[in-house]
Amino acid sequence: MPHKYRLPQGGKIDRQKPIKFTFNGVTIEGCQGDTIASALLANGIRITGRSFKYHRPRGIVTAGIEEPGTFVEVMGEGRSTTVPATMVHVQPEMQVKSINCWPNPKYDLAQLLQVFSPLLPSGFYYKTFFQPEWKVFEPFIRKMAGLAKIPQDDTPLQSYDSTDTHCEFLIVGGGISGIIATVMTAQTGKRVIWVDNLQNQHGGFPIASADKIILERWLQALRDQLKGFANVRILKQALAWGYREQNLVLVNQNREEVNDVLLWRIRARQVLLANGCTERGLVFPDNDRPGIMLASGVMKYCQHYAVTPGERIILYTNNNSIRILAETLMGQGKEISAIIDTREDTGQDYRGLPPTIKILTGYEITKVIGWNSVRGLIASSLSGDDSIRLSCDLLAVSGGWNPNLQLWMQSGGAYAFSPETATFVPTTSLQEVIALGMCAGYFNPKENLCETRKRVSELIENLGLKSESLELPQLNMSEKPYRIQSYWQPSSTNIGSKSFVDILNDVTLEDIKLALREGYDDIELVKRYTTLGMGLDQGKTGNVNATGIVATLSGKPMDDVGLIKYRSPVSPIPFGTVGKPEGKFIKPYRTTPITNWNRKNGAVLYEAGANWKRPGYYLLQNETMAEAINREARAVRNGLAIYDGSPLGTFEIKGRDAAKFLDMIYTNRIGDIPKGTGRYGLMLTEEGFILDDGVCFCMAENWYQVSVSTGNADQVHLHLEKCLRYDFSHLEVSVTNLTLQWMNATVCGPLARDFLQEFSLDIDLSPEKFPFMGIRDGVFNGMPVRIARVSFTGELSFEINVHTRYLKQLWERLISKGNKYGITPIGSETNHVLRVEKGFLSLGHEVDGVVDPIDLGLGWVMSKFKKDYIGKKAVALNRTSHLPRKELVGLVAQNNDIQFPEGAPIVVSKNQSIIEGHVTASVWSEINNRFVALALLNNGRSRISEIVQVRNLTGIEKGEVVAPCFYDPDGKRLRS
Amino acid sequence: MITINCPFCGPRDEREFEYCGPHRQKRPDKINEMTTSAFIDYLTVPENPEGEAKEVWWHRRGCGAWLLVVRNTRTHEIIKVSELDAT
Repeated sequence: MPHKYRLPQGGKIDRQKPIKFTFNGVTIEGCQGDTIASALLANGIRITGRSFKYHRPRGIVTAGIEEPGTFVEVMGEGRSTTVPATMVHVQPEMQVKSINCWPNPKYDLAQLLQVFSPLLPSGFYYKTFFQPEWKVFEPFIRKMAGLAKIPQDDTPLQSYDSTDTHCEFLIVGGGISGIIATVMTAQTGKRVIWVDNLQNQHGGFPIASADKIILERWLQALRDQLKGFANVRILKQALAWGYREQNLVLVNQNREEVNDVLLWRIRARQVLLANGCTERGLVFPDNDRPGIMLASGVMKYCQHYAVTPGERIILYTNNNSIRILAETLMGQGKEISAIIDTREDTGQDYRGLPPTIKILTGYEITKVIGWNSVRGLIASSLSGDDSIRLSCDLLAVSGGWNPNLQLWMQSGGAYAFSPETATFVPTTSLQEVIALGMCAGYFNPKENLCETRKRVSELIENLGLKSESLELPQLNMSEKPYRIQSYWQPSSTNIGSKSFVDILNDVTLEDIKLALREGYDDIELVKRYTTLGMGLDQGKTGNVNATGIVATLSGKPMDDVGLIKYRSPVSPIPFGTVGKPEGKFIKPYRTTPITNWNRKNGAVLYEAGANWKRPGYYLLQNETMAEAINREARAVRNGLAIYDGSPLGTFEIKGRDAAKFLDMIYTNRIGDIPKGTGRYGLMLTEEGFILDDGVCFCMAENWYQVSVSTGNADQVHLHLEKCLRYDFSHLEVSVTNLTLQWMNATVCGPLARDFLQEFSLDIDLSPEKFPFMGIRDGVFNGMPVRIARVSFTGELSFEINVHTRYLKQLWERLISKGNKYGITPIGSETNHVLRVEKGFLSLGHEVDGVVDPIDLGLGWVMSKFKKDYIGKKAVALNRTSHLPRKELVGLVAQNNDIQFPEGAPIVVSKNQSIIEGHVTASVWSEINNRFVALALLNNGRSRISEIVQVRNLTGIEKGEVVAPCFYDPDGKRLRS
Repeated sequence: MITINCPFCGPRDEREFEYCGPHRQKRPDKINEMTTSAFIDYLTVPENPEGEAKEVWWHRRGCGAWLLVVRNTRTHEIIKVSELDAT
């Protein structure tokens, strides 16, 4: 047996199956069943990491999910970042690395920080690094304080999935009360889901070894009994991490057999929380030294992993649960040299222990000796008249027990301080949920059994259901009531030592005192100022102590101070389970019938608005993106081009009051649009901001077709429906979304008419018979079509709309016949260039939720004759202030080689920190052979030909203000 | 994530619905005759009660009904769901 600290027998590890893995490059041998933490402890490895802020050496503190001391990065296959060493089982060939230290935890260079630690008080970042700018310091601070690095290899090793389900009873917790509750509710015949929670599989209130055997045998029998129930679903290897409204519980299940993590969204009629409890530490000087562990951790390592990481053991406590640990360790032949108890009166708690154990009651630890590992301590009597030096290599600490209130608090349940158990226990619930067993504050195993059975049977009875009575096992030894006396902070602290309240975040007693001194007297403010209770462990071992300290220092009752709100997730979960899987399932990408054609023909697909996948541009061989866009732009301006305009939102508005309705929706007059033509229009919100711009066609009396921006189609639909249901519910109008029914191929360029005349088509395309903004129904090569003469490019343009089923056919015919015209498919990048050349608006570029139509030169679209339309009054009201307005202008750089970046600020020449506008769009214009830009500029329209200053990344560049149109300002070409 | 008991479809998940803002008064008929302060109040001062709030939800990815939902903003309890009055 090479393991120095492994016990000769016992534990649930397999000594016959050694497993070798590396820790910071050193090969370590553990056994099958070991966690990284237990294997390191068995081998006597004390320093396993460095703390976040001071880079102090840290060791393993606990044996469970609450671990605040040691986080590791697992590399290679099965990699994961920043996981507690206590939660990962060792695998052959596994490579494990400590986080937060360089070059290794034993010789960490940043440890020098400690020398400067008086300069690092809480709130230090806020106070120090804001000058000259945070970004100067940020990279260094992140490097020093960071977590594990994001793996560079981004191939996912796990897959993620999610599912929804319902049940009558949801039991969270795999311990004593969890099993009792599951068996009892199962007998009702209702649907039961049991989350065999990871949270309390480890730790939990100690149970004497003899009783543990009885209890485990009994629990195993109950587990076996459950196999007979078809109405019970058991989620193993799961973690309930979130509790939402209306009894929705979020559970992550690690399914090793299929190597994925499944997120369960479980909606339960009744939730039973049997989350167990977690031990807290004690606050004393240098309580973070490696070798100082929580008693529950030492217990678990001894009983489960057969590891006792020390030879000279001292126990430190304020409660009598430590006695069970003393007996367990002695049962394994270990010697306890002393028990230090902060209570003056320990009653019968230590009666019958061997006289070799020194019992110090009414003593506290005032000093810890040892830097990289605990070597001894000084204990002083609370009265102050005595102090003793003791040597040890393992110090097990118990500061009392806390119910795991994370889910309870998330459910909105109330809680109160219980002086008998010196902790917070659940009181009244807000939702249909009860807390059971240790989670309800019944720590003693015997009490736990009785109370759980009582509460569950009451619940079942109240719901009018039935279950058989459950016989409880007879426990022999665990009858002593749990006794504790609050001990929140040492009676005095000496300078030069640190008493940690939150070991993970390096928050000390002094930090809390400072926060209170500076006026942050609410516990939530203390949290934010000091980072107490944040991060990976969410303060599972420290938060109650923090409340105790704040209450003591401020003289408030515990209940007034309260607990820091535990937020979800209870413990870190992979982003993959809550993030959206890449466009596939939760929000599928929308494609058109020619998306595959696009893919085959070199299209680079972009995610456009409303989840559409659209071509950005089409790459030919040996072509750059810029070359492709210029080639496509030339085709539109000089020849023939085609694009798929299908994603454009299309709505049909019908009914007796359709015109009346649209006159309220649009700023301009709709009622007098002649049949067979359309009009460009603007929709505003009631607040006077632009919701959308588009075209409204009159198809026949009381029948209109509206086209809106792709990305805005859903919002416009909502707006139209809401107006109809709400403000204009007296109107007889129906709105039908035809976005997916009408698809279109848009043919544009000076050759468009000649080209279309080659097809069999029963529509006269001449400019006299089919003018700009006209719309015609007809038959095109046997396909019913609706052709609209609208133009988003500024060029002669025919938008050929067909039913979705015809689009592919239409497209392929146009392409094959268009070859002799050099027909060129174009993407959205080119469309963007062309619309900038024309000064056409784009939502999200020029329309930014601040400007109004008049700013954009669209005052002519605002009807002066209509008494009322949505947004009219607000636009007028906004303009009464007479402050300078940002108006749309064109912008060209004086230096021809310069492209202004989109978003670049335009600054006032005298004071360059004052911004008077910004560049909204900036492109290379092939037709003008130069860069052109659009901008919003204070009072811009009256400043044409003025020179303004644009701030680039490198400096100031001069630009000339011009009219916002760089091509065919009279619009002759689009009307041709 | 809440469950809304649609009068036509039964209890359905929030993901099927779209929240359409607090229930408010209907757009005044003669909005251009309103005083500025009355108009600003109408636009910018929606009720925001702690407790029972009236909300409008659209069963957009379901039956398409427009619903008036009375929900307690403190407890998330849904007290009443009815079809939005069409008059």
